[in-house]
Amino acid sequence: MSETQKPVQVKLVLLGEAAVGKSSVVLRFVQNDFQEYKEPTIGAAFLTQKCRLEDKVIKFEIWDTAGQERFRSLAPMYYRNALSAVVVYDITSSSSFDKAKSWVKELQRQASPNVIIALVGNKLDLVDGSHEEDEEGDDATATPTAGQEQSRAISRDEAQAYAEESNLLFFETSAKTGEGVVEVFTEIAKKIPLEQIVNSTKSRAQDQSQQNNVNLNSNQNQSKQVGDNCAC
Amino acid sequence: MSQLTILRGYKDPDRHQLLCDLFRLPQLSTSIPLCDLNATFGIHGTNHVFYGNIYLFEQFLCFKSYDNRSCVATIPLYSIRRVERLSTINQPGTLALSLILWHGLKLVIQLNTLKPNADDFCNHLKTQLRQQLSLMKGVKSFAKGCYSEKLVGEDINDVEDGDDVGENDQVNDKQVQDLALLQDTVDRSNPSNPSNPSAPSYQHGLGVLFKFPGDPKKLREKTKLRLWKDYFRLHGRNITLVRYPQFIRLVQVGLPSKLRGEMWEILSGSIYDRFANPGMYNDILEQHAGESTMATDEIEKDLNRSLPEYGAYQDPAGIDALRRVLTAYSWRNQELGYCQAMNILVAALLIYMSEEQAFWFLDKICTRILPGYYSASMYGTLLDQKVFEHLVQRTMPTLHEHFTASDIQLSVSSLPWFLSLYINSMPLVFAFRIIDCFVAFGPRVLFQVGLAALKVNYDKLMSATDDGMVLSIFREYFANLEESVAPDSSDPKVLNITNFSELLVVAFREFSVITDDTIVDERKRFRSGIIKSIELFSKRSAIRNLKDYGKFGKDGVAKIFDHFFYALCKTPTPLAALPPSTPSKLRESLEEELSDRTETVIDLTTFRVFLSDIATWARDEKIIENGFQQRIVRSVPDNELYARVFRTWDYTGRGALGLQDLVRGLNGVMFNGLLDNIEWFFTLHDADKDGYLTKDELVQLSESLLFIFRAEPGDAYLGAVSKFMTNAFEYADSLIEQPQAVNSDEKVSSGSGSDEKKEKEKKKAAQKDPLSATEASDNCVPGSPRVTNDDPYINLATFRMVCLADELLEAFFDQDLTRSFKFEDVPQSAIDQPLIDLSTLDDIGIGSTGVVGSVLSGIFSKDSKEMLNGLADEIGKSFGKHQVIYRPAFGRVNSDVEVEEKRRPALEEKDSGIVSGVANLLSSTPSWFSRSRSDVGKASEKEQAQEQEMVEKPSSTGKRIEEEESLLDHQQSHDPANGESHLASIRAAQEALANRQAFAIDQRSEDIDDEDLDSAQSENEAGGEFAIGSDEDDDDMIDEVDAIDLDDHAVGAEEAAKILNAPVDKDQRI
Repeated sequence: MSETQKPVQVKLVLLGEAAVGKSSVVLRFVQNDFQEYKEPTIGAAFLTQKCRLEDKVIKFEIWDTAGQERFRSLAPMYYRNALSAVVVYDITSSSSFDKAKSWVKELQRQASPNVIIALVGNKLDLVDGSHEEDEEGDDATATPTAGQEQSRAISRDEAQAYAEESNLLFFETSAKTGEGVVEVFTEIAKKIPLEQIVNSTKSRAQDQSQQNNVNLNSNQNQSKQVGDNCAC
Repeated sequence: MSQLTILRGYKDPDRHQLLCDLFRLPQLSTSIPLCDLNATFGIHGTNHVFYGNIYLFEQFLCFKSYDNRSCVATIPLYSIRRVERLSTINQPGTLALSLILWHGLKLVIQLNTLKPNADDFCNHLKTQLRQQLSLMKGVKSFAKGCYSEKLVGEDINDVEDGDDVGENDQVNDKQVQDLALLQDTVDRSNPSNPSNPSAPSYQHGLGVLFKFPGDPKKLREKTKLRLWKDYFRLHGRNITLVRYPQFIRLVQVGLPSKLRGEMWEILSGSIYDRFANPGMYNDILEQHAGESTMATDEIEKDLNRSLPEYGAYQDPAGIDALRRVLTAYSWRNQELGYCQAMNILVAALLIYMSEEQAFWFLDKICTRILPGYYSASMYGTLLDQKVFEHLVQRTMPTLHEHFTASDIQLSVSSLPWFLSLYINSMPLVFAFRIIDCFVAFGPRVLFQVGLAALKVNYDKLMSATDDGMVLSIFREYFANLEESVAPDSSDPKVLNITNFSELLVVAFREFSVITDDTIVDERKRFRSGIIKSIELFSKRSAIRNLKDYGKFGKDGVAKIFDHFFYALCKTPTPLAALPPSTPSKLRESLEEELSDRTETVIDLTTFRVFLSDIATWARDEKIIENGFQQRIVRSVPDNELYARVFRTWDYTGRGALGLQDLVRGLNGVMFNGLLDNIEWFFTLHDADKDGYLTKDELVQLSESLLFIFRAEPGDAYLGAVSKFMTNAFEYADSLIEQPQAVNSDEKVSSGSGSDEKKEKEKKKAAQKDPLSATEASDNCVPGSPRVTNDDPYINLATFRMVCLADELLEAFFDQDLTRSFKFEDVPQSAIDQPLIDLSTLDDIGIGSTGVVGSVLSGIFSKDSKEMLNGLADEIGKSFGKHQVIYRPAFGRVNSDVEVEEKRRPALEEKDSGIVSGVANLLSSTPSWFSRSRSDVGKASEKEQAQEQEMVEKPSSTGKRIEEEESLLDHQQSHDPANGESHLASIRAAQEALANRQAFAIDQRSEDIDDEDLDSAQSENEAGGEFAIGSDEDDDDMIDEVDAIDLDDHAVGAEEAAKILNAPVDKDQRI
């Protein structure tokens, strides 16, 4: 890596109702892996992943938060200073979509003013292609039960309309098959004002450069561990 | 935020509670010990003797050595079989007892106290023991379910070889064993059958069938079991275990897997709950079988995600057990429900414990050991994070400074440690050893281990620059706990020291300064701050979640929230009072409206407090002066009007109001002009919202008006309401003759004949279908059964016209009503000091007069203030300075009274006839009126009596209406033979209804004046005045009406028919 390719750090936070697949989306993005039964996140999990965009390298610092309502008061701790947020819902659960909306609202009022928000409808695999006729079904409860076809509760159009109206990026994904996951992060990367960050971190880095020499090295070592299988 | 104010319920534990916690006692009826004596404690057969305190509680005998640590014994009285008095020849004057427990263990207690105290102790002990007789029988069979009994009774090698077939296989595989990873410890080559018939007879966890985590050989299970066996023989076991010094070491090296579950419940004390509540776990499950709640939905989502690597949780047996325990607990503790992390905890517990054991253990954790950790606000977790951070600051100031400077939030890393008791932060084998210590020594262990983890990684942490790096440092450290501290060392002893042993040594040696007391003190220090910040957060999100701010804007809504919150603090809505949560299916459809399913809602009782806080007319406000101080006391009267407003604002019809409902409701009245307010008030009383009021509703409306004006001085408002009623009935009657004016309801048809028919039909319908009848009566006010009919009677236009005909009413609807809603500042103490008990806050303002007064109110605390006030009142009374003034809700009439005063002479001149007429009437109706008069006299003397009147007033009014109306009902049902008389009965009803204000007026006299008879006299004059004030033509009629009404009450039912005729004749003009 040359000096110009020193990665730009971008803090990203994942929010959404419990069991919509936040951790799975991250796992797919970071390790290109999927676990059917992922332990619920307590507090928050932290992962990093590098991503190349044209001539820049972006290092996502991903904060994956707990989804249950009562953990909500902890969320500000994780989304403070976040440049981007991914709000996930489960396309088979209308309540998770409502929850996503309220997260968007909270982010727009409480998080950094220019935070880039992506709305992600996950579990596309549950309603995929061949079973379109199931869409009229009435069972729309969200459970992580795998291998069962479930009906879609939130149509793509509805979510898309809401996303446009609220000025969000919008994607539908399947963490299980990997469909659409990487796009979420690349699109976010494209929208991040990278130059600004580089400039601002440079000035900050200068202040701290002397005392942090050792520390920066160790940082690079870590990112190598997880980041070298960059998916994009 | 299922309940905003729930945090107010959390208090710092008191001295006695802490003592109970030390002994791990279950919830007793009182935490204060019956006896507390100095004593010497020893166990027969051991060499140690300890000096300390002995406590007798209602079910337990407890001893602790002075250092609180060396020896702690909790002996349930039901385990004692024999108490003997020992001869104390060597030390005359002292009393020694020997207690023989059910399994033969003998405890010796010497009471180091004076004889009377010792005798007292013995007497208490005797009484208590006697009360435990019934429980004693259960001890033996209960103990049979304990592995410790089996262990003590058997040769240890037999047990090992007999029970664990797979264990040897595993030991051979030692090379492959990785303690850190669970899946390796599960013996896959030898799949266990969950329904294995060879399941042991004692309470056991899933580990017995699915293998315990870790390598038994490496964990030295056999040696540990042998040591425990020896310990149990000498020091008691299960419910009678006595903690001696070697006990601490035995726990610190890690509990043996087979014993672990039982030891956890002994060490936490949950075993006493299980003993005391046999079968409760299964009963709860049975009782709620098939029911689904939000908690059960959430549990379902996490079942497959709890220690998924462990064999049992890939198997229905494990998943079902997990579901049952979590579900049962969500029922037992509905306020808490289910919190993520509990699934991980319970999954871990179930490896070592039976479902019932895990259930009671979980209860102990949630309620006593870590209160508030898993609650809806997670306030305990947040509090302990704050405490932890502060402990870091105290013990490692430089590191703390570095964190602050680098903007690193420690709790990002440490919160999951505490919340999951390290289970999902470390490899299971190590987490369980920390839990061993945590259960045995208390919450301080969590802090000590956390601090040690920071200390060990000190240098790395000092170079971390953000949260992410800190997290990574710990992740790596915890993953390598099994590694040697010095892998390169040649000394095998050093090589054998693992990171984990180092962690424990640092935790318990270097941070031995962290004691139970430290934690208690630190929690106390930060508690109110945490509560305040959570409440602020709740407020912010509650406001953010509102879909509609109305015209209030953000600040206005915030004020509404403050009052909402304040009302909840003063009069909490119990969970049970709320309508049951909607079943899953229905919930989806309600989602739109209730996007926040856990929204805090209030019931009618809390709503009354809320409304009284905001609207001046909705509260009784007394200004009490007693010469020393002046204070204002508020109380909430009772009236149907509250329920009416409540129902109108309950837009979703769920029987409860949320913040959004209140905002919408207030928005509908606080910005109203004259016509809006009239409509608002009309709608309030139009139960079926058909645009018409029935007669009943019209009467109720006038009741509401009288209620609203109850505290206004003078009689102007009474006159206004009376006039209103007269006019309303008159106009409505004139309109009802024209069918088209009434025919919003097609059932209503013209003519008296069909009226009659309809009446019959109705009766038939009521007989046929009692359901519809009750349904209809539900809409009516309780206490005033449906009378004549509930047909549409008066519409909004007519109502408006009648209202506008009166100056006072017009002013009321134009400005007064809207102005009566005011957001006064909620007392700041309510918000700033969350630990103040708001339920006792009744005084809203105290202005002390004079030196004595101010000194007094300065000295006394809130608790004794009530007493002080009472005392001051008494003194004030004795000096004749005690005075109670009811503060009016609107204050408009003050000026009006003056106007009246000026007008009065003229009136008297003009209408002396009427006045005398009224006087005649009074004399002709002595029975109840004179009673009220005498009441007035009393009231002026005694304030209490007056208050009594105030309270009684609404109900007694209701009663009278009831009498009156039932009387009418009676007549109608007996009189339908001809159309004429039917018409007459309607007239009669009207008249009677129209008359009602006469009572109201008389009643006003009871509470308005507390001076003397003069003002009562003026009351009567007012009666005359209102008559004059209304249409001149009606004067006579009203005069008569009054008479009739009073007569009616005087003579009773037989005379009713006679009375009826008069008004009918009179009203022929229609």
